[in-house]
Amino acid sequence: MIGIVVVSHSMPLAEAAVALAEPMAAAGVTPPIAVAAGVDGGFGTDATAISEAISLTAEVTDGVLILVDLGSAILSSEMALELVDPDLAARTRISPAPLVEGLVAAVVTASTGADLATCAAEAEGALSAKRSQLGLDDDPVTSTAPETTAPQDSAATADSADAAASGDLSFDVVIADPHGLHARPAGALVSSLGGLNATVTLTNTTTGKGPVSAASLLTVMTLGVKQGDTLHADITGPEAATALERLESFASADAAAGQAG
Amino acid sequence: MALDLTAVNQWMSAFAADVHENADLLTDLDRQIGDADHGSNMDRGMAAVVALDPGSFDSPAAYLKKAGMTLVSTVGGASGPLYGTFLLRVAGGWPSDGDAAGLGSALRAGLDGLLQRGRAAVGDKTMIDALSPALDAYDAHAGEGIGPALTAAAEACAAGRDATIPLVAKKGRASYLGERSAGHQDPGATSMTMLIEAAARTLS
Repeated sequence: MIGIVVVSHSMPLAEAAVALAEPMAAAGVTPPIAVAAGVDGGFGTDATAISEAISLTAEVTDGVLILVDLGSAILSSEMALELVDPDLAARTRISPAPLVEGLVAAVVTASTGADLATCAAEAEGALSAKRSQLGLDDDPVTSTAPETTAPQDSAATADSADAAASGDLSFDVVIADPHGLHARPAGALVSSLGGLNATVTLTNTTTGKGPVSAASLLTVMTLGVKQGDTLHADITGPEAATALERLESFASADAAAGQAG
Repeated sequence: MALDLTAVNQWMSAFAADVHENADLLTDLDRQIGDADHGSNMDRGMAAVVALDPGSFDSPAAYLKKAGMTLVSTVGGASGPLYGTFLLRVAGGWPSDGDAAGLGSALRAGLDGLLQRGRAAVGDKTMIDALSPALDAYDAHAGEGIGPALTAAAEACAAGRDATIPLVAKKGRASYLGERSAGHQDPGATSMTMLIEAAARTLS
């Protein structure tokens, strides 16, 4: 698993961002997260503190993604990379993603066991989910996750339907959560399916959006699943049965959220 | 004077005193085109540098390196990694025999570090606009010895600082202002001039 370092001018901001992002991953698979924020209790960034956070995180992970807030956070992070062991620096990346969106995407993606490049790509694309929700993008966001085999266009969708007809699993659930498939349950779903040797694609059959890869929180969010929408899953691969169980667990949690709401 | 630990300590102390005395000026310059913290940030950082015990270092390079790291961890804003990088690179090239050419190379290593760290070029309205002409002047006078070379560098540095006034900022927070950054003296070029002027007073 990769780890995450949050660099911010403000310790309260960094800690709150981490507190917001951590529950997005499924329980028990949260990646290691270190914070380097503020200087002497005030605003600022400190390259030495960042380098310590990188070293601590890199030693126990396969790579480190650094999420930064503003201005000198980048300068200080770049300098920190020169201060750490070159072997650790070589498997560390600074993300240009917006802090909160990028952190959520990184935490969820890292929790699936995805590699550094995949987590970095998901974090970097995090802004596009917000753009999509605001209607600023006409085209649905395509997954940046390289391991996905989700079809990305209508021609591929037809192929996928043929494949599904040949005995692979599928699953449908009418979303009961009054908030729809929002970031937290979506993150938990992506996180719980992570690491399985199975390919899951999701379609909002009510609106016709999709299919998209369930390996990417980004693309799942672009389905815009609201309460009452039907979420359809196609599942292929050696561990398809396990993936189906995870989807059933997700549906149970959603039903509970529907009753609570 | 040899470029020994005592001289380097005097250089840092003189710079710290200038920054402290002019902290309000630096902050005011930064208020016009930045975020009004350059004076207070640099003053805090240099106060921490002055608090270092020079007797605990076995070489001027070791002392300068610690001074750079101290700025990195106390300044907070972009000046921390910038001045920190400058001093670390200068320390890395510090001449053992105290000759003018060696000091010129060390200072130029510092400039190269700044160019790399800040991704700024001459004309972007940054501390580079003061330091770069200063080192050109230093090199032109290096044959006359450290004293004349640093004096020429300090004069060119001040001229470079003044020449930032009409420039439009291309880097740092001031660049957010675009054309409105013209007409203001760059705070980083101002503090850099204090650093080189302090060198001219203490190292020559």
